[in-house]
Amino acid sequence: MSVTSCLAERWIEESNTIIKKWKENEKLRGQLQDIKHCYAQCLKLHQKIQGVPAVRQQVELEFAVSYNTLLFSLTNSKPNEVNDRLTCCLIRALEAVGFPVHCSDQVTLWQTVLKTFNGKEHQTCIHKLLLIQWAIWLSQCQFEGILQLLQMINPKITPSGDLLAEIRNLTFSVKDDTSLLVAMAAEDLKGLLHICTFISKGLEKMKTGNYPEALQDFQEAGTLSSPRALLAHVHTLMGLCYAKLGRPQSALQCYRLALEVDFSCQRALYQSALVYKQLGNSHAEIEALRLLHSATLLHPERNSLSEPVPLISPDMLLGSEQMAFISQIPSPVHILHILGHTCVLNDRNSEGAECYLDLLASLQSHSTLHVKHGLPFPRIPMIYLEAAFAMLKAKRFWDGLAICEEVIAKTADLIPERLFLEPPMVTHQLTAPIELSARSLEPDPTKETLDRVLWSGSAYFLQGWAYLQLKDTKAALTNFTRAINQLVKVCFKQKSKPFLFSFFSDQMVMLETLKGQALTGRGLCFVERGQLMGALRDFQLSLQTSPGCSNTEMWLVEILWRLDRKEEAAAMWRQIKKCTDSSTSVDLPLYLQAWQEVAKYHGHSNLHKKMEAFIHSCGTTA
Amino acid sequence: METVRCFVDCLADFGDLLSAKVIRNGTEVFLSTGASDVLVFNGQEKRVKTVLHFCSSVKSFALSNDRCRLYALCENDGLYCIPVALESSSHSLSAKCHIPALSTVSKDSTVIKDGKVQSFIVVEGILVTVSMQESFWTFELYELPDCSEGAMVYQRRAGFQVQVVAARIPQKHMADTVDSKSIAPALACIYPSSDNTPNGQAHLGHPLLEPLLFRLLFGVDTSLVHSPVILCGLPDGRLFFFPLLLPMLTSSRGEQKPQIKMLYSLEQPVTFIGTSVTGEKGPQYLVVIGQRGRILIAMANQEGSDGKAADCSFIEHTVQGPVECACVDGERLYYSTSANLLALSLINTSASPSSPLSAAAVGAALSTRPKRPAVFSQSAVCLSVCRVAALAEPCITPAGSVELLALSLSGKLLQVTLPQASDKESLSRLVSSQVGQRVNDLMGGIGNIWERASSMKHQLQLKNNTLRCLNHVFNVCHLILNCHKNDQEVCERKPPISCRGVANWSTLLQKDSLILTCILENLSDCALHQGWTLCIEVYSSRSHIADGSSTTYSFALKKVDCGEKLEVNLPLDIDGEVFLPVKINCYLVYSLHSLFHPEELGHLSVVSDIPISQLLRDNGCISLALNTLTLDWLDCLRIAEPNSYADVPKQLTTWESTHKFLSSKQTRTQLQSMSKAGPHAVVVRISSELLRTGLSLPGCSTAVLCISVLKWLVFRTSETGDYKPIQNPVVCALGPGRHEARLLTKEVTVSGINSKGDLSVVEVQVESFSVEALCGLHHAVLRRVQALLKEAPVTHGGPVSLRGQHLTEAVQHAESLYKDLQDSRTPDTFGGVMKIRKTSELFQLYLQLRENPLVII
Repeated sequence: MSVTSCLAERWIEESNTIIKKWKENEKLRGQLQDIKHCYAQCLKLHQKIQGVPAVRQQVELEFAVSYNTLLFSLTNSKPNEVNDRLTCCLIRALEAVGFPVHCSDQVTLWQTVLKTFNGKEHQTCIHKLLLIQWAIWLSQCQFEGILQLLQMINPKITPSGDLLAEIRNLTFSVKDDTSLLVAMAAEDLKGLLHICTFISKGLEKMKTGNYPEALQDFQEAGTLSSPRALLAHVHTLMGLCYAKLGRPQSALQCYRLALEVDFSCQRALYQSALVYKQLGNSHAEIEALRLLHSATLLHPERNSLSEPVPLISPDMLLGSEQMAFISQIPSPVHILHILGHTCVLNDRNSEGAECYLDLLASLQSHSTLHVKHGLPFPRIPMIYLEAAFAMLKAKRFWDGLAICEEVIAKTADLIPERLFLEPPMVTHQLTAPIELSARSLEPDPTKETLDRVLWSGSAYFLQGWAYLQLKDTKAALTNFTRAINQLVKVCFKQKSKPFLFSFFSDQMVMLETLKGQALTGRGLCFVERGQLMGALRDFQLSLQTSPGCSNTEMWLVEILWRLDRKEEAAAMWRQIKKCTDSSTSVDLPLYLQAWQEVAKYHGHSNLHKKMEAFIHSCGTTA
Repeated sequence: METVRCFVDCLADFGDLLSAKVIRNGTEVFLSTGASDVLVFNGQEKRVKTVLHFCSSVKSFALSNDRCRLYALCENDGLYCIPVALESSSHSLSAKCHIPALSTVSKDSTVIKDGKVQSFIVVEGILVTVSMQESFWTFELYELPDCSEGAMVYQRRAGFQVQVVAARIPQKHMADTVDSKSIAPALACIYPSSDNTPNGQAHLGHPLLEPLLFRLLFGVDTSLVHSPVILCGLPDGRLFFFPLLLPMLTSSRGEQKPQIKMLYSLEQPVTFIGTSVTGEKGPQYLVVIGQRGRILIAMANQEGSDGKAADCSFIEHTVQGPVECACVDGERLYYSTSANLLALSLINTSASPSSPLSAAAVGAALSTRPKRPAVFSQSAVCLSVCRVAALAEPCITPAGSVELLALSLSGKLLQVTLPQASDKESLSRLVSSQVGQRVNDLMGGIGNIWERASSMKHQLQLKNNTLRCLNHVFNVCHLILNCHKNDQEVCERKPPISCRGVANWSTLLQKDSLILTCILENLSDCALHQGWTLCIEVYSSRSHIADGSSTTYSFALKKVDCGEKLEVNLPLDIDGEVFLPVKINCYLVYSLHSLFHPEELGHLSVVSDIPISQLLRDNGCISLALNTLTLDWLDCLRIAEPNSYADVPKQLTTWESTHKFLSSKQTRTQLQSMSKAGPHAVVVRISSELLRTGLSLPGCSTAVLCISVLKWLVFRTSETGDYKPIQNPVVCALGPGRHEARLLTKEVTVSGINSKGDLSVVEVQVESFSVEALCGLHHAVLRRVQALLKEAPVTHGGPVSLRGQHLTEAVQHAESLYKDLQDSRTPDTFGGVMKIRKTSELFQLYLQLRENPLVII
């Protein structure tokens, strides 16, 4: 017996040495390597202690060392392994007091343990291990288990069945023994578990769409003391709930709070940008995005090595899945794209152009691995075309032309002379076996080819526009013609058109719009060159392919007027007046959306006067 | 099949392999042999410089882009990453020692602890691993930590999965399906070639592909951002690809596009993925080879003038499998079936240009629209190198020929230099200076080969010598063992190799010493060469040491030819005293060390760094027992003239002799005066008949018999030869310790023993003042007689009828004497006086015992 007690003293000393060293390291730097090192030492000690048979006198020491080891192992091992180790500890404890148990069920085991140690001096030690079990189950989102566990130690109150209520009513003591040091005070761990359980539960509710209750949970979690980063997450989540509940101002307030608590909370920044967009505050949105982008560049990895790592991090307790949801933000290239897009849409052209250039550079650079989860990213040719458009808007025409050239080089040779659009089912049956290659590469080759047509057509179109701006009407004319040539390669039977629209709706709309606008562009070139007949034909064709474009209509009226076909002009004018402006609501690409403003007919008021006067005169003559 | 002879240079031999992989890195070659080592072989010094030892067997390995780290995938352990020492730093060390440095890689270097990882590739600071998890092939992307920071945390960045499909493999390939489980997926990273990458050269060791084909195969998006593409050939034959550096894309309609797409299905395990046939804009073909010989070539068809869009075509061709490994260079595909290494030209050389002008035209045509690959029109060229298990990337020698580095299944690292196609044509048009150079090269080559041949001859000679030695040793063993076997039955003839021993006295510096002269006689027909050792173990019965003591003398033999004798002398006395009788065992010992030539021994110790003595530590010897001799008092007598009996000092009294006797027995006695008496004598009586038959002297006279018996006793021969010292039946001699003794024989007739009448017996009488000499001689005589009795034929004239009464008397006398002896040996309780009395009593008893009247018949 004396030998064991002597050993026990040595073990206590050893345990305390390890923990003291850890505490020192934690204060100094707290790196992952330190945790690993301490873990290894703790594990060794634990194994040593388990080498002798379990005796009642050693239970307290054993529990303390187990608690420390398990704390370290939470960050170093998989939850299942920790769980197994914990089970072993419990069974050993029962053996020590003479209650050998052989059951694998965790809940039953805990029941036995709590019953055996109830009211004894080791109760507080048992409670420490219970916290570990709680942590394991929390990281695995096993709320049922936690509830059962907590109900066992709250026997006085009638079980409510609500985990959060149980936690609120939790009254068990986890006082630390001063002679045996622990790596993390049980009280601290309990607090952390408390708040994390609330967050986790709230997230569950959010996922099922139960935002009001989730909000409540988060609010309660926000009242508890917690690490900064976690508190910022709580505020962000509250903001998310508010945003979902249609209270954008409250949401913004929450996000601001989150950023005040922890400036590195990028999710809050991103979410506020979304809210600003929703509110139409583009200036604030751009600012937020800009901040977010610089933040992501500065902190590419939150858990970088230089930062101290806490022994038990909330990330670990909440589980990777939950954590991914909480801190989900787009990758830097996404942010850059959104930023550029927003800038261009809001006429901050030079900023937009810079953003797009940065974006292209980062896509081309081979040093960054783009995180492949999360938010989707548009197709690369689309990005290029948007970038070209941004260049043109920023009056950097030659840059824009070069970018378009790139897209054309990659796509133009892949387009066949004629692309027959047919419903996909039929397409598959008809393709010859030789073209197996094309089919095997793309799930839907026709769509892909159609996309290529649209990209190359758009690129030519943008080039034409650039030349038009550069007053090189000849080159502009060539490019608009090329664009039209590309676009008319797509053939379909008239009668199957509605049918096809159901398959290729977006692409068909885009194709028609683009065709119309390219024709308008060519018309404008003709106007510039004074070839009014050509212009008239193009404007008419444009209106045929995509009716309802007010600009083109205006131009048509103007050309008719100039050609001295005043009657027709007047009839056209009346028609325009009659039908109210019904713009298409289809989600068009940036460059087609904005084009409508660029190609605006500027002599609107002048024409208006002229036409009114003519109609009036006609009316009077009639 | 066309066969081409190529120059094959065996750089090293590593013994039989399980599996192999070889990577060339400058002058260094990294190779694994299926065991748990990665060897770093220096091509210039032609030796293994470093051995990297891993905890489990190495499945695959690769170098990082900057070539300063080695990644190795080990069985059940996962992926290790270790820094590789630069060539220059290790050079100074290696200059001194030729022993490869062994560095054991600890488990701490594991970067991905996942035993399920089947293959991996390191590209652009990204590590891609492929593992099979349940029913999914899982691709995982990890970001490599910055080399400079020293951090070893590999952040998992992305991952995707592909469902495993049950491969539909025909029944006849069932054996292969078992294999296909163990075949790791083949991974390759393909870059689009651009203007700033030189034509045909790989980008950091990864293959390039011309932009058009790249775009057609891997999509516009990938091509626009110039992202490398990871191609993976799964064991079920499906080829998957995914761009490495591209964010997750959505189409304009918001549908997410899958990251990983299938390119093709080869329907057999993929062995190799590469690109070949360098055109203007980079390699024009994507080449994939399946394990069972199916070759897939993907090539681009450029946009036609007839309005046809550019597309790519996949062409399949089958060669005879199984394909163990493969590699490509600018225009050829090299692949190894287990039987042979073959080269398959991928471009059409049949339309060889007749004039430079048309050549340009053909070249132009080729570059615009490549013809169908030549694999259809040409068969593979056999390179006559068999059992190649792994190939490194081919390289072009400064001379312009293609050089392959291959590792054969028998573990040989081969450098295969292919002949240049233009060799034959250009031969006739060599300029004189080139001729000189050529001759020089050839002579140099011949010199090298001669050197190699002579060194091999030398080696062979050494081995032959060793074998001859060994054969000889076995012959000798056989001879001696055979002789021993015959001994069991009857050994009439003399053993082929025997050792006789004779004791001689030599007087040096007035000190007598007994010398044993051993004569090794080789009567066999094989000579005893160097390496044999004659060992003589002298076992003396020192009475005061319980089990006696032995001394072994070894004599290394130079050479003992057939019929030759070797005489060796060795001292028998220890510290001036001789303890007789002495037993002598002779051995012939052969040390296996002698099998090796000294040169070879030196070589062995260099290679294995364990001294040869340790290799042969325990049983490095063959030991053959020859004969066993016993030297007794009779053998050690110095014969004096019989008349010099007077010289025998008479003044020696009983008292003195007793004292001597006792002192010889190492017991301390007090000087006591004892009564004087004459010399002590013992008599041994042997029946004359027995002696006559035993010594084969039938019917000889009494005098002759007596002399013969004496000769037989003293010289171990009874022949009536001319032995000078013995002329009459009395011999006076000096024994060891200068004890005089006299032996005399006479024939007497004894009555009362034989019932039929008188019995004639030879009485051998030993007289000496020294009891020690007396005892020793008595014992020796009895021993001789015993030996004679053993050897004597059993039938010697029928049993002699003995008179029982006489025998009874004799026995009774002996018994009474024995009783007295017993009495005197009872523990004395009366103190010292009694002791003295007892000593004399004992001595008397002893003498009476010696005067045994029994006759040996």
